[in-house]
Amino acid sequence: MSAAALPKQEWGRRRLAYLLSAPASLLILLIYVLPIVAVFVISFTDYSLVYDGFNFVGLDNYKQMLTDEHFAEAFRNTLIYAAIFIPGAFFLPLVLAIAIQRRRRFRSILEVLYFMPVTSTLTAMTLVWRALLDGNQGAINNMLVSLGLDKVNWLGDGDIVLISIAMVSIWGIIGFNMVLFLAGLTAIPQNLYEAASIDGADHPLDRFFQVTWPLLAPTSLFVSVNTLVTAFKLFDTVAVLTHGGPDRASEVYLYLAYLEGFENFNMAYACALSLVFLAVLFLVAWLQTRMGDRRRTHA
Amino acid sequence: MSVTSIEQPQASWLRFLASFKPKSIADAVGTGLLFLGAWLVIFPFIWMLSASLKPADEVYDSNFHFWPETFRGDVNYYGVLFDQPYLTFLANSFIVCAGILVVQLVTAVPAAYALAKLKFRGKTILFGFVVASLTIPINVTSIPIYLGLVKVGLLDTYFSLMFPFFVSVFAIFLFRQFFKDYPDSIIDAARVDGFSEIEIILRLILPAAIPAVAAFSVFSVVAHWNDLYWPLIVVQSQEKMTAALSMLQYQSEFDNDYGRTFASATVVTLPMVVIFLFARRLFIRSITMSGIKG
Amino acid sequence: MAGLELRDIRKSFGNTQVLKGLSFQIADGEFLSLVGESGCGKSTLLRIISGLETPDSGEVLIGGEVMNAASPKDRNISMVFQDYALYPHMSVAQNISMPLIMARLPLHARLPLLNKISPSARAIRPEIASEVEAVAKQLRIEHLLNRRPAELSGGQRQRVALGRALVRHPKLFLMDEPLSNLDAKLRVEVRKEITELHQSTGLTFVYVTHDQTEAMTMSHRVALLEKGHLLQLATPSALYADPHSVAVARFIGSPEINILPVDVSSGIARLGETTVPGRAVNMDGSTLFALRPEAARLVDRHDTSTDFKLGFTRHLTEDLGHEVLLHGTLDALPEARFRMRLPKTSDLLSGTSLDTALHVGFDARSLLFFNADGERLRDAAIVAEVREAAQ
Repeated sequence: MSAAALPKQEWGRRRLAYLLSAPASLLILLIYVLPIVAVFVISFTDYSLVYDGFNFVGLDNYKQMLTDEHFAEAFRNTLIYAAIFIPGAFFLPLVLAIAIQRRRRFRSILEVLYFMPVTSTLTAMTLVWRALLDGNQGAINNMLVSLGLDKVNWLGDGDIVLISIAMVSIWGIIGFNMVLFLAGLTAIPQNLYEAASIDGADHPLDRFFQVTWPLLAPTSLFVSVNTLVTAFKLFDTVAVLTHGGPDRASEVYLYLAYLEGFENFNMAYACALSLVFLAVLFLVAWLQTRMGDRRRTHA
Repeated sequence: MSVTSIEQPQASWLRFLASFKPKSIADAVGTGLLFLGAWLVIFPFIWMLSASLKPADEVYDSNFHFWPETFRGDVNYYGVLFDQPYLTFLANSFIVCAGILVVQLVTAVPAAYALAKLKFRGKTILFGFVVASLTIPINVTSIPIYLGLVKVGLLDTYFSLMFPFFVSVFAIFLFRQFFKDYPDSIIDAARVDGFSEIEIILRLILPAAIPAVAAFSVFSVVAHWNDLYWPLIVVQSQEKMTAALSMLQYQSEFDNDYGRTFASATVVTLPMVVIFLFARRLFIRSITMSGIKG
Repeated sequence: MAGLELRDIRKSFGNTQVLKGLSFQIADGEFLSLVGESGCGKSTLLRIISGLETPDSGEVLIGGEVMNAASPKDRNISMVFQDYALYPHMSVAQNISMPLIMARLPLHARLPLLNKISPSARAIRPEIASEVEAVAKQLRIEHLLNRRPAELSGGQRQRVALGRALVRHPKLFLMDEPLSNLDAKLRVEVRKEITELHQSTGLTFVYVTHDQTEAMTMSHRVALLEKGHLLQLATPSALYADPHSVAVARFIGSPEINILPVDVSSGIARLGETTVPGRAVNMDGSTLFALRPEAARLVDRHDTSTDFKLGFTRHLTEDLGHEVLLHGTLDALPEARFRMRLPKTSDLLSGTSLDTALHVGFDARSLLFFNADGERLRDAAIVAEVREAAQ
């Protein structure tokens, strides 16, 4: 191979690179870049699918959010839901992972059982949950009655419905987060536990706080961010279980955006809602990277 | 343990049984609690399976027993599969998942290889777009994409169901990471041995990428089989309804036959559960791989 | 009082017996090395001594007390791990202080948040800090106290691991191949430092290694293990000069000892032109003759000063500067490799090529004899007889 042929070969490789990345680039443009630009532009108009034509209205859609009580309600519902969902979706799997990891004999079967909900089709299983949570004849209330307790109106009571939804969501995510924690736990070198027990840290609390928890930090960060984003993205369960009811008590952010966009055809307002949502997601992602970086420089 | 117990040869099944012996009472209690929790977690499945075998009036019986008094499983499942359009729904879901996966792989693998191993202008920008897009869910871009599909008159088609997922930035990110770890020295050695660039991709990179591709495939199929949001927006007819979306019809008075309702729920859930039971490792890997993203 | 005593220690993993009844004692303040090929059980034995592993049977006594049931922290021991096992999220100072914090602070003062407000922690922490500093000074790592393990070189990590083990003044200091992750030059340096550490602290050291040089240079006594058995426990010089078995003779010494497959059929052993009547004692067809590479020297063709003089064909010369290693075969025993270790100054080697005929001379008293089971034949009569036959 002569030296003069090299640039040509280099050019060949570059052309190949363009060829290889062109389809993906084009699709990213069509599916992500242009739509985001469009969302941005539409959010400053009064566009609606039902009427032809549109006017630029400036920040009106964003101003509307500040006065829209549905927006305030959906925002509040999402936060309440997240506050119930996130601790359960984080700590239950953590405890389960630690307990399961030490059990050599039963580990696989327990892993399979707890993971089942993750694989299942949530819309179908939500149908089952609707039956189980039924206020009159559901299996859960039947059990409560047989224990001598009062029935709970799981889906019909506005003060309880978010707890019910969080319960179903936690049920659906336990296996997912548990598997992540198990992977994180397995990555902790065994000899650190041995060193710890030589150093005298053989109390379970010492083992946890001196070794497990600090070394699990990257996994915990990932799980908590992932869980947070999952909480904000709640949609399916609400759509199947409650339709946002009773009386908007379970109308969460994305469900509101969906209703505004595709039921009321207030496309412009829905776009503004979407952009705010995206801003929150970017903020979370940014915080995650920052925390990750800080840990890395300190480690 | 005494010395004699080691020297006595034990039947292997005895030793197998002995290995289940709990180390302590706390250990036994813990295991018991774990199984109790597991029972609670899978109870909805058991209930669903049981309900799917029952006549409508038995489903909400106040004292639950798994086996129905009057067995209606045959009627329920026959009804779901042949009286109702569930075979169509399942086929739709299958076509959509398969179509999405194929296009995702065809677009992501080459792009990821280019991003990982080749030099070209715009590479940093492209990767920047990939990373930024990782954060963008379909819920944000759905309105313009929907409007676009309305404009070209493609609503309520397979294409409209698949289009927003034709490129998976997650797959590009994942495969790029994977290809980056592939040793440059092997690629250089192949070049010295006279491989063309295309041959390098087909004969070296693709075979090496199979584990990542398999894990991603599971991830992708499960995600799109279970997706509700996008089908809800673009599907308008029974002919294009997906299995997951069909569940939403029971919101209204679609079917008062509760036994049959839960037979259909079972039918919709079953494919993914079966895949999971057979490809458990792959499933778990697809999840732990998603952890790389962070 | 024995620093450590082991009584008939046995351990199996599944169907594999790893330790098959080991018993020995180590004196207080002694430095003992456990040596053997990988899989000989030396690391398992160390883990049993530390309490990380429990023996199936047998007793571990530390300072005269039976410690079988005691957890590692109650044994008053410390241990340096092969890959150091430093806590990656803690600074060097925190790493070293771990054993003291665990021993001196109550549980509540060790938990996050609570440790900030616990009064007992506030009283004890400065005292711990000063002890950590003292140990760091001793190991010359006081400038690294605020760094994390990831920011340290291999040698520095090694010192931190030593510091963490030293800080609690244990009765027993255990080390599991602590030098194997260091490069060759650093290894020699740290080897010396560990020996000095042992001398200055006067602690009982148990040191696991697969490297005989480490074991020989550092320890008072060496325990050589093979397949879960103790082959021999002796001082380095005794192991070298007086091995109990052919396995010990082979393991100790580099280059490896020469085994000469001498034909001892029909009561006569032939070694070149020398024949040795084998009537005496228990020499028979399976007797092994062994000779250290440095026990042989090059001799002139006419030299008669050694008991044996044999023709030697050289295949390879390794010149190490201060010495020369020759690899080849004895003409009388062409099927066996023969290694020699010579001081550089051998005149007989200068100006020779591989083709030059050389002669090897050695004395009968340098030969070691082993029976079919590899056990040493010590009878002085054999040596005398062989010697007589040679002259």
